[in-house]
Amino acid sequence: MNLPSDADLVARALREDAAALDALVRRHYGAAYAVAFAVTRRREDAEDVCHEGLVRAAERLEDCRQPERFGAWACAIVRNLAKNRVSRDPARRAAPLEPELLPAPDNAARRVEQGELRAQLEAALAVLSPAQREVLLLHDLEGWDHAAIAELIGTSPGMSRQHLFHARRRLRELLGDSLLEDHRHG
Amino acid sequence: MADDEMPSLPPAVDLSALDPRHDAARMDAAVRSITREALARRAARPAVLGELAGMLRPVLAAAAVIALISGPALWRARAVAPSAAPGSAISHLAARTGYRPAATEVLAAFTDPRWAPAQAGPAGGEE
Repeated sequence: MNLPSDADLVARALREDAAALDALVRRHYGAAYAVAFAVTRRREDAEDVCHEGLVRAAERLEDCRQPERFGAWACAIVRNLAKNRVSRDPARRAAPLEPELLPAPDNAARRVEQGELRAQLEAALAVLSPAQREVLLLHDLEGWDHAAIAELIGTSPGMSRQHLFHARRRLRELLGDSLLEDHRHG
Repeated sequence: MADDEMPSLPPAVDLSALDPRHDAARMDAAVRSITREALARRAARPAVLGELAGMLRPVLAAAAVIALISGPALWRARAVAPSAAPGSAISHLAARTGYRPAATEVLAAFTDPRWAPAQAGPAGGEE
């Protein structure tokens, strides 16, 4: 069965179809969360911002001029909210975390638990620049292509590739090879 | 969708531990909460606009009544009252006395210290 397109879901949601709106939000929650997390660097903030951004997007569906690109539009709203939140918090504008704050990547056997791995990934991502985090998460986690990422973050596809290159290399340095597995996009 | 074309691009790191879909129950709750709130806001929007329009209607009606009542009176007052502008006062004076002062005389009269307000000086007195 073919999944309905974003344009179909938006059209149905505009007629107050709750199931369509639910499907639309569910489809793009991951990317919106990735963008929010890349900017805020904190899971709780990312969830808050993602919630408010997607609510606003869904509330103002009539303003989405290209319904087939609802995801990119909603992510742009989330991104702006995330940036506003970070700019209001001086502590958050501080320099990235120093690598020595990361847990040492030795004894990988004890770190196989999901929560611990997530914490380590979050700490490593905090060292990257915001643009590197955005590109890395959208590309390697959400499967966005560089053209779409570049449009969202306001750069060129070539620059997006550069960010991805440096982000992956830095992440590998920080985490150590013992923790890393090759991803499906790698 | 991925389009890795850099030959020396390092292999990707498995980031799936960060994927919110990993915790299905948490994500489901988040999505439901977003949908519920968005639908509530969408439903509330026409009501808010209707309420504003409802409030606006009597205000506009009252403004129209006030304009109707005061309009002719204001028009009459404007036609009768002399303007407060100096040029207009000089014209009135010229019409009544037959003497039209030159611009330099008017300027001298305005800058004459004898016509300064009484409270302007430290002693408060007039010469």
